[in-house]
Amino acid sequence: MSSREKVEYRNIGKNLVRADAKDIVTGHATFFDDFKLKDVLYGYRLGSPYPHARITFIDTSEAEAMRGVRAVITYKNVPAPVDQWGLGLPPAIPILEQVVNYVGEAVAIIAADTKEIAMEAADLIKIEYEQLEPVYYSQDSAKPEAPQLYPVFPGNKIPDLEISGEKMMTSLHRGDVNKAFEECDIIETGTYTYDKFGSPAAIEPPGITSFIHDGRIQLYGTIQAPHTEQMFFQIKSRMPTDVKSFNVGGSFGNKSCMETTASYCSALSAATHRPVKMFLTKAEQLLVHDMRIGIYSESKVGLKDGLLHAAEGTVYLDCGAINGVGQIQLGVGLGEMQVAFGKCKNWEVHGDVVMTNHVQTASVRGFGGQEIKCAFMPLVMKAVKKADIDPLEFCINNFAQTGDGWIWRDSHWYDCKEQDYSHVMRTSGEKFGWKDKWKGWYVPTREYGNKAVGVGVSVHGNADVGEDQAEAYVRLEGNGDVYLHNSITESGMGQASNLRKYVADVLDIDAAKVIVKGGDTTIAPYDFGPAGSCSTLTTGEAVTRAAEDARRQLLENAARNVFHCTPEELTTTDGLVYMLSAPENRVPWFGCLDAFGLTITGHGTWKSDYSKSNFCIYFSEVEVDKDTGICKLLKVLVGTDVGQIIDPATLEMQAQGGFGAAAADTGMLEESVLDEYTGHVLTSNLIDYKWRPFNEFPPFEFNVEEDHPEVSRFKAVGFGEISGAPGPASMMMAISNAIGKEFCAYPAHPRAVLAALGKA
Amino acid sequence: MKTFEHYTSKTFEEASELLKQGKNVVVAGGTDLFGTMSKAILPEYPEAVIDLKEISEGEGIKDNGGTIEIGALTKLADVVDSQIILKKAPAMAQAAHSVATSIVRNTGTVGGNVCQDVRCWYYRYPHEGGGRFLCQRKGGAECYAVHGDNRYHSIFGGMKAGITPCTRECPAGTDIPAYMEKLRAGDYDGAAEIIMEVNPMPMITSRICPHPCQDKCNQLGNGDCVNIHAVERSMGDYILADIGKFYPAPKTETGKKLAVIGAGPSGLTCAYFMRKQGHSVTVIDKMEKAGGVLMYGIPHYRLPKHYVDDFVAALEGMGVKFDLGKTVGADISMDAIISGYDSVYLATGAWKQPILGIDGENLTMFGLDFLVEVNKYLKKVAQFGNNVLVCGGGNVAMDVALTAVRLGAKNVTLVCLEKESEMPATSEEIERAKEEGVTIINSRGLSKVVEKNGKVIGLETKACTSVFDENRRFSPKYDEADKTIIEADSIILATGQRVDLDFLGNKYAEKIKSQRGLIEVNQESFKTNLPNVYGGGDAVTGPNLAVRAIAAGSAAAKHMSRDLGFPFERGVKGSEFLSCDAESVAVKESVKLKEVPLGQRSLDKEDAVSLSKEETAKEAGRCMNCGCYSVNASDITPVLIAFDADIVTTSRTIKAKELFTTKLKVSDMLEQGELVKAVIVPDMEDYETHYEKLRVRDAVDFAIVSLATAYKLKDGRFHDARIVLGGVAPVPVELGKVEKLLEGKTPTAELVKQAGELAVKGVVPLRKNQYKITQARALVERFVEGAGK
Amino acid sequence: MDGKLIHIAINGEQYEFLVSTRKINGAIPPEETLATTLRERLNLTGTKIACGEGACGACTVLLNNRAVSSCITLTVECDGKDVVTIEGLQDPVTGELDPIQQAFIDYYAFQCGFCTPGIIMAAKGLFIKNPHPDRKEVEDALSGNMCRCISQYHALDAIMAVSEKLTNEGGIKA
Repeated sequence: MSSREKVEYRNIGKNLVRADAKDIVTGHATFFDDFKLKDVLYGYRLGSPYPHARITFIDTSEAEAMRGVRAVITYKNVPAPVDQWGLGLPPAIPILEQVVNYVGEAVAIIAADTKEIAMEAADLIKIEYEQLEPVYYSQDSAKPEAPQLYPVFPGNKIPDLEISGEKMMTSLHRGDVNKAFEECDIIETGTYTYDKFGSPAAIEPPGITSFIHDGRIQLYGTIQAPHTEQMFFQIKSRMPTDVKSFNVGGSFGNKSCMETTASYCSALSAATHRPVKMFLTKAEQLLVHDMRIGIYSESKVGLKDGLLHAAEGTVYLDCGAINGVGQIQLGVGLGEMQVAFGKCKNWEVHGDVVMTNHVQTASVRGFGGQEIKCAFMPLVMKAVKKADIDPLEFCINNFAQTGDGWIWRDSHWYDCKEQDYSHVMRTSGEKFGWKDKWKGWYVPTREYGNKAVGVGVSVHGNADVGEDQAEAYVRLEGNGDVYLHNSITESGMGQASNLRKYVADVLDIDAAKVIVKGGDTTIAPYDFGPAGSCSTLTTGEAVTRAAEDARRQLLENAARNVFHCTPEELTTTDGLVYMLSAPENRVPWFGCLDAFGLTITGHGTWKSDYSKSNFCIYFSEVEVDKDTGICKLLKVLVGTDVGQIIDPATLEMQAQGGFGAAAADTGMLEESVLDEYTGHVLTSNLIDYKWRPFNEFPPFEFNVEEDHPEVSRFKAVGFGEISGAPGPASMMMAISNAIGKEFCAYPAHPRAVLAALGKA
Repeated sequence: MKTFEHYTSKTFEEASELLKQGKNVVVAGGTDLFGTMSKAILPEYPEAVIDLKEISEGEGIKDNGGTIEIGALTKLADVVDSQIILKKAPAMAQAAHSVATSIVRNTGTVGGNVCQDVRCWYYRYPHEGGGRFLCQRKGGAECYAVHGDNRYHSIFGGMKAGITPCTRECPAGTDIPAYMEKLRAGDYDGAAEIIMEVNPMPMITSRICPHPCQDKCNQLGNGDCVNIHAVERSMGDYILADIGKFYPAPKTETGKKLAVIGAGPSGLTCAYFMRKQGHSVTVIDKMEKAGGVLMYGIPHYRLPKHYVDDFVAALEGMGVKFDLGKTVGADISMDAIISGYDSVYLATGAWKQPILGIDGENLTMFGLDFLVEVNKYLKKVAQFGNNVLVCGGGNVAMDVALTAVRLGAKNVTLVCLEKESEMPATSEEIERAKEEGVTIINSRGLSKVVEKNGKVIGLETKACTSVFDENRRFSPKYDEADKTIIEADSIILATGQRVDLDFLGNKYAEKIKSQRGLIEVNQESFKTNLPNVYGGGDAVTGPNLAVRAIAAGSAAAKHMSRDLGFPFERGVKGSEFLSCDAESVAVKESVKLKEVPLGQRSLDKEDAVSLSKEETAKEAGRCMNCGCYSVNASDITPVLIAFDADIVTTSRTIKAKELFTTKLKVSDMLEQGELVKAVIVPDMEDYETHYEKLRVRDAVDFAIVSLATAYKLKDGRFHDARIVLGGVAPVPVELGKVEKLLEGKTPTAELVKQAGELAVKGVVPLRKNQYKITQARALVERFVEGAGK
Repeated sequence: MDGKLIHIAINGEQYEFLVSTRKINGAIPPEETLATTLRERLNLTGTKIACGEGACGACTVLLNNRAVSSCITLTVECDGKDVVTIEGLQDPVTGELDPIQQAFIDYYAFQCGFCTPGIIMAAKGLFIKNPHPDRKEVEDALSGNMCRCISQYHALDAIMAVSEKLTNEGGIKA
């Protein structure tokens, strides 16, 4: 199977008990809300009842007079320095405004001795609104006559973005589309949406404590990537910022920034000179915290000789009322199209980030690619159906390989390197039983009674695996302890624990000997964080290089101080240094150091590189009850090639994790239901917002291969970001095949299914 | 959570007593209550929580031989595991197992489950999100689901959760949604009956009433309010077209005699209802024609007088006697009336000019007199200027101003104390006045009449800085320094009317006249201080809406008749569930009356044309039939109904069906302090019983549609089938017709189809829940199909 | 019922609390939930609060040996009862982990770990009632425990391993 030889490592590739395992199973792990800070006040937001309205009257005097209330802030009295900050990207929206743009947007924020007091005070605020016409869908919002949200964003469109020298790609222009369409033998057009604003909704709600003190901002929170948070805050506030994180109770990209909540806490801290904490309730998390973006696509695709040959159209990225990172998500999403359809050289896709009176959006696992793919793949598959090509064959033939390439989100061209996923696609198909189950387009695999079963497949890949910079220090102590300083937090992927393996395998020690110190910008160097599945490669390689640097220094010291040879003649194992030629004479590290008490610190870095994508293929088998419209997933197979497995158990769980956080389950279950009548998101609890419960997990197979591409010392490529991304489109295909006609409505609610069957 | 007192009860009786005190709630399992409280979804918060969990007699499952008794505090998990229930009532265990999740079942109780509140996402919207929704179920006005996302809501219609705003705003209390529903069903007679329960003259009120019913119509959240008065007008016309049917003479005479003094709206209404009851009614009025203010005070173009004539003729047709042109106190004495009749109703209205006390007031005209004169002769007899100034901001002032315009006055100006937004006249009337060229000057008070040689040349006005005090009471404040003169050669005062009770004479006036110069009556019974003498209308309230006078006439009649020994029976009942038409309800624009174009309006022709029958039906379709359109959340309840279980409370034993389906909320069926103690389920071992539940996920979720069934199969034939749908209506729905259909039949393919069709016959889906009909049908079909298998 | 003393055994230790609506220092107000008492007063922060309405299972503890949601259980209503939290599973003397805890480590049965204590407690409740559950019974017993990272497959494997091991060894101790 793999083209390159597999290497047996001491740690990498083997399951490792996580450093925090015992703490987690005994309840001793410290999460944000378990951490107690002195003198903390509790923040609460009073939300707008209207999706679009102007405040005409506001009186906070009664709330301010309430015992235990320490500050009440409205758009009229945002304190310095927070009055200069802005929300969104670009940060142009004042943190509190006279015009509100989504239901639940703060019209007043309150700090009090307890949250209960703050909530009670909120009810004492007298407020009157003039309602304005709302707009909920990007295709409406982009029209010239649409209601306007912010004067700074005319036409409700977010301007293009240039950030630290990178020009974000929001439209994709490649080749000659007009000519290409003339060459096509199949052309299909269609309008598809993926716009249900799924809530990633980590089990632990987001929370932040902010303390503005002595000219610095100190943030404590459920923060996935402390340095990303620090970067955003320093840009926004032009103030030095320290960020500390804890065990993160799930993030899925959705706790990267939490800038709205963090800004509210900061404003309240500025007003009270005390730390202010906001730990959202589940309802707040589901209603007003950053949601997944929506996508509207009106496109045309053409096939030539079984390959996607041309694509053009318009893609609106609905960023809701506040744009978190829409331009970047659009860029990544357009990039990922070129990965999945790597043979297509003709693209003319116009993209816009459009605002609507829907909650704010921000970074979420899938990051543009999942959303655009869910809206685009069904259209491509409609053409594939017309061509009567087996969709698996189509995926195999079209996915980018070495020699293809893409324009990535930074508007630069990248030659695809070290890539051929056709093997794992074929083996995955075999394991799933595709040949037996696939009966042709819109033909059920089998039927019994009024139930029909269909299968579907989709693929995904993301070149963000090499995304952004990472840095690490590895410190060797004389006693053989190894400290790894890197700002990666533990938010479920096991990364903090697994990074130990890179260090340990460089130093030839047990991974358990490595102590990871992270999650705090004051003690660890910059790391972009585990976004886009990148940390396996980026942080992994930075950590590897830091360990190599430390090892080099150690051996140089030992050569100079002890062995009086060249460093190349030396090696180290289990905290002992020896000459390769005389392994019986071993000196502990402390004996090799320059002087007692001194340590060795190695330094390693990684710089962005988008020339390689990761890969995921998703097979779904869905049973449709044609009388009730209820769909059940019968079986799922996820296939990938990760280059080199770092930790089999955590990798498998990343694959399984694709169901969660509004990823694959946006195909079957998850949606934030927006009520167009009141502008409210109605799915405010875990009964109405539908996570998959324990008793509904279908048989799950994971087909993982290792191709060992030359991308880093250990040749590993991350996976987690995309593990659910192709799921929803595969499920739409499966349902289409089960019911015998095209179906694409995320998620497949019985209502939509029965409607498609003409029964509702 | 906010704080509350907490009590632990050891017995139901103790808990019941505690529950009667203050705003207290009980907690059985707490799986619903504490989430509800911490999210503050309800506007009211309890003062105390009474814990029932320590009531030992409340928990346990007992086989009583023939019946199974399940204590209300029995945990659902124990129902799931109970061998007795598994054997003798398996559907009960299936239903219990389908509830929520294992953890919830460990705490949740049977009693809590059957008494639980709905899961509607509007009802449950957390306060922290953007503020709770005050829906009708919570004492608010609207069911947001009707216009909103109703995918999980009722397919059988809603249930009233309170008085709808239109009915509440209507002084007569007309059940507007009920007659709209009849109209949608094409039942004009039924609709007419509902209106005439409270108002015998819709052909008149629809034309003159400022229709406060429309001001708070829930359709305003969607677009135009329902054009209620236009629909009512069609109904009025319909009623008038068939007087014989709608104003029948009573079948029997009671022999009781009633005198009504005053032939205005209140008196005529009272006469109608009393005559309907079979009493002999005589209406006495000083004017030549009956109708009072309807005949004389309201311009023809708003109310052509033939409507009044026809209505009066209809009353005459019923046998009401009219003694017109007779002034009480002059032509007939009060003594004679009181001694000659069993009951007397005083409804003499408010016809007197108030004295403002400004200089030159004697040179002005009184607005009502002006209107009476014009109405009598359709022209102004006495001198009438070209520059007319009307004083007043109410609808009478508008009538005066427009009448002046249509009489040909060159310039008509209207001056009033109020700002435009404060004017008591309806916005439609103000618009109409402006449209016809009336100049409106706001926020000016009257200072004095400016005269020259005994002729009016203008009115000095002063600035009015505010009209109402902080309690919204009329208390005008002026800036005496800010005075201006408005030129005019005629001034008509429409600044109010007063009640004149001189006809009573001192002897009676002493007894029944209030300090404010009105007739004093008991607010409830309309009785005056004189035996058998009642009063209502403007004479009691001072100048007010005609429909309020009608309401008084109607209510007074009901009391009078009861006092005479002939109480009224409660009339028409609505259908079981409220229905609305999803597509029509979504329409934003109302159907409007067709107005006569500006240049063609006159003094004596109506300004607008009634709606056609089609238009009327279309507009009636826009009525949301406000109620609660949520669905029952309990899984246990449908099974209990199917099993015909008994529910034992602290005060009685009641059938499950009665307790759980009669009213919208179980709590509405329970008396204060009444608690469910146990459910008694019959031994169903001879039956096949089953509970089926459709939902998106096989845990956590409430039913989209559920089906509780029980039946026997005798020789392959259905016997005593019980079929109850859950999740489809505010309360579970027993499919009685399907049960009947199945009786004695074998489950053939034909029967399957018939049962499915019958099960969903008469459904009224909302816009997003049609699929639930398909699901409900599928469940019933599968049940029939699977019988015996 | 102001100023009532209640007694709760938590992880085998007897605690006495004063319940009062008055602001007496240290007194528990009636509205305080068990989860809050455990977390804020006893520093037993292994019990997590996430949904606050009994829908996610993160706050699961044993109350008289049954798995319940401590976020919707009032402390005052635990008077006279036994409470076991995640911190109470480990043997206080030997430090030995409960077999379920050990299995969760052995089977890598968690990701972020926020929901894990609740899952373990729900599993514990199941084992007390049914020492040899089959997979369907385990799934059903855990239907009220939500995990967003998707540790369900591994958690089920871990619990099934305990069930099978206990089948061989003859049950789990309460």
